[in-house]
Amino acid sequence: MKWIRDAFHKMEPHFSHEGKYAKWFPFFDAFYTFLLSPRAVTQKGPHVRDALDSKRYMGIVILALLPCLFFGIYNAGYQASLVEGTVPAFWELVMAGAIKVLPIVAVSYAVGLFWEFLFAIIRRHEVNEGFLVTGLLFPLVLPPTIPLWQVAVGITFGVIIGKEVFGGTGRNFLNPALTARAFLFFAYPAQISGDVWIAAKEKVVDVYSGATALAVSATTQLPNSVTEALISHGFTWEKLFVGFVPGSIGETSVICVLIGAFVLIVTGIGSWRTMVGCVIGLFAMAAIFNLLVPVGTVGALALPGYWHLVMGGFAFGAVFMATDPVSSPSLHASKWVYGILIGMLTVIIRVINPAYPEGVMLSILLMNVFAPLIDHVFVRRQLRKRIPNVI
Amino acid sequence: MATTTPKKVVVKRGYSLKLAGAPAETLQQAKRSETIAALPSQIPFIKPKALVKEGDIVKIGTPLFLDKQDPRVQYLSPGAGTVSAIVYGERRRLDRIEIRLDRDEQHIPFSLFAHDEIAITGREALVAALLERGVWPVLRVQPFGVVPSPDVVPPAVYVSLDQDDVFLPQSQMVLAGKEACLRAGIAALKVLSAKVSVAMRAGNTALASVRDLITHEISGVYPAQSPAVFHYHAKASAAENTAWTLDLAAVIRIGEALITGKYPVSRVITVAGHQQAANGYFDTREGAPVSSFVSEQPATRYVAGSLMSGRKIAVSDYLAFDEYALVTLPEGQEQQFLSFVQPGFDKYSFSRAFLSALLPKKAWTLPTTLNGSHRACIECGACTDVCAVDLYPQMIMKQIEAKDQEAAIVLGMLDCSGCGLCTYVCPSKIEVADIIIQGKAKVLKELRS
Repeated sequence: MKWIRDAFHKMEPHFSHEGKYAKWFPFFDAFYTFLLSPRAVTQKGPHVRDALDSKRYMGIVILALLPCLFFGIYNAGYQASLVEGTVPAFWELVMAGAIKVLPIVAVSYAVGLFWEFLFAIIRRHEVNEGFLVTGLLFPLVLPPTIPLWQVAVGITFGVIIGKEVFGGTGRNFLNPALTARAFLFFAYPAQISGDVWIAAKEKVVDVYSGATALAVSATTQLPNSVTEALISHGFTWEKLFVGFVPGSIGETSVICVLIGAFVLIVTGIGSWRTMVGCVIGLFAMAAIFNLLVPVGTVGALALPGYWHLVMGGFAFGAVFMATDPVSSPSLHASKWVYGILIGMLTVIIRVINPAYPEGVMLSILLMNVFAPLIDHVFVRRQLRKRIPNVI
Repeated sequence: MATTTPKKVVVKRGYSLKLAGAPAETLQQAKRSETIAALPSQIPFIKPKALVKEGDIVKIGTPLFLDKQDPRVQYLSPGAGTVSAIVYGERRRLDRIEIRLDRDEQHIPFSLFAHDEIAITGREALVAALLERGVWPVLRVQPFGVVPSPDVVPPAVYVSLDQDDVFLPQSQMVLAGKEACLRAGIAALKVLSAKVSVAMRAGNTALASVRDLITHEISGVYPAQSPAVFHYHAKASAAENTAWTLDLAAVIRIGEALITGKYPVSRVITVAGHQQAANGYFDTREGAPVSSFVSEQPATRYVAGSLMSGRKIAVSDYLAFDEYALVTLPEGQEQQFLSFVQPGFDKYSFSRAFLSALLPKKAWTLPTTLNGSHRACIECGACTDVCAVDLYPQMIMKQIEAKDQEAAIVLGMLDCSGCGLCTYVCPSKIEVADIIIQGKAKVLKELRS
């Protein structure tokens, strides 16, 4: 690899401050530091530094997302085959899924990176690694049938309005991938909800409706049992847990999300407090609703917490979206409250609100807005414990 | 006088770097120096004015420079000979006063204090004695770490005898042969302040002979033993925010000046780091030239003081008033291909993001690489997890950058001990500690204007 290093060293002076292509430095730097570790040394104390950097940090999140991505690719092909009535081989299913999913991922990265590079060059700073995660999170929360032009428009909105307008990485108060999805959800609702979850060429098997578990639970009315309705539609708890059901590309398999959660928690990159808080809030609110069954009409009031856990995008959202460090609160104590509120609000929106079968995206976005307030309360509490040292 | 059981101080947060290159604990004699230097620019926050000219003859104890802000605080010559050079830096800053040493060095004699006499000396007389003997500037007052005013009685004094940084001299090596000086120094501090607290590391049996002086035992990892961190955890009220903080070497210097009647020049230093052949404990003197301990090697950084907060120096430089260590580090490193996707058994991190977390090496040699590029703060929380004085460094850093000094102070900025761990762990390579230290300096500057 010495020739790569030498090639970059030869090019480096042209992109430095006085070089002819100084304006394009962010472009050069992005590829240079992707391939080779930066040469920069410390200028003052501490004279040595930790090995963890932004690239490793984001790289671990991407690693944690890969099980969901691979499962989603297979599942997209598999769900289509169920509707088409065919039984292809494993690799044919993977190929069928890849043909649908990989273009979405490619467009997300290509368009998003275009905006990232543009802002980096205009603002004269290095391209930040945050988008490497956003670029993969966004496709995983979209249906496999999403039109590619919507992927492009959505990620554009997410990067520009969700992040760059506020000053770029580290300054956004909302999760950019979720902002992108919310934009598509409200601007082009027809292609992101309803009968969009299965990317089949043609519907051969009529009995297979393609409805998601959340859709079934949302249309069940008391005194019918919602869990029986789910099971009769083929949604057993086990099937939902493993994930071979229709849904957004990356959200269906709770097993894959748990593998990702394990990676994030073991490396210390993702906050376990946020994740566990979400689960606690989810179960708590579900339990409260369970108590209201005698006085309610909606079937989903009776849905136990452990069903909510495996349905829809909750697991994915709790592990990968809620834990975005920039848009979550900073204090450990705040993360508990933030997670619990996300879990509770998810269940409230799912069960009570007739317009939205899924509540995770909206509850995370709303809690993103509340994060500074939660921090403010807990910081004030902590400061009261200190002996004041003021001038 | 009955000794009460020492109070326990538990410092929950911090981080101990497992570094290779700590020196073996045998004291060696340093090479005889031809030239030494006093470094006025390394005394924090003073405005030095030279009192000698090039060519002047000086003895050990001759005043070399003073602080224009309080001319009573004078800095004495650490050597006897001829002033060979006075070097000015940027904006006429007095950088260095070099002295070519005589074969036989003479001292300016001061009166001797017997140990029992110290306790009965009045405060004013003792202050005058310390100023006269040039050891007043070893004192530091919080929160800014400046030399205190001789007119203000400190609400308390916090002394920490031990040292967490493995490259700095360990207490048993510094104390050897100087116990009388330590006791005299403590006695002097008790005259200067009503409350003197003395701490050692919990369970440190090497300091058994001075157990009767100990009021607190500190447990925790770096920077738990730091005087400033001790002060934060032990202070009783806001009135003690402006207490004095001292380490073992400072107290010994005070005591030595009083009981020997001479300006104390000898000190124990360590040479540590990857240039193993040079490593060791050395009996040397204030202002010793770096070249008498290490030679110029390629791709090597030399740091005076701690590798966390010390000064990058050249081999042609000298050790300053408060510098007791010389650290060598590999400068830079070979660039690695696709380093961020490697398993990372050879990468040392506070996080568990590398496989080195599974099979940790016992001792690491760290180069001076930044290990990344500067990015915006992503609120990873690592800085908060290592801060020994319970701050939110990233919040303080953001308030300072947003120029909201009031908010930074309310968050506890003035409690910062300057340990540097927040910068060390930051994955965005933000100079958090430096930003906070500069923020504190700005407050001091505004107070003094």
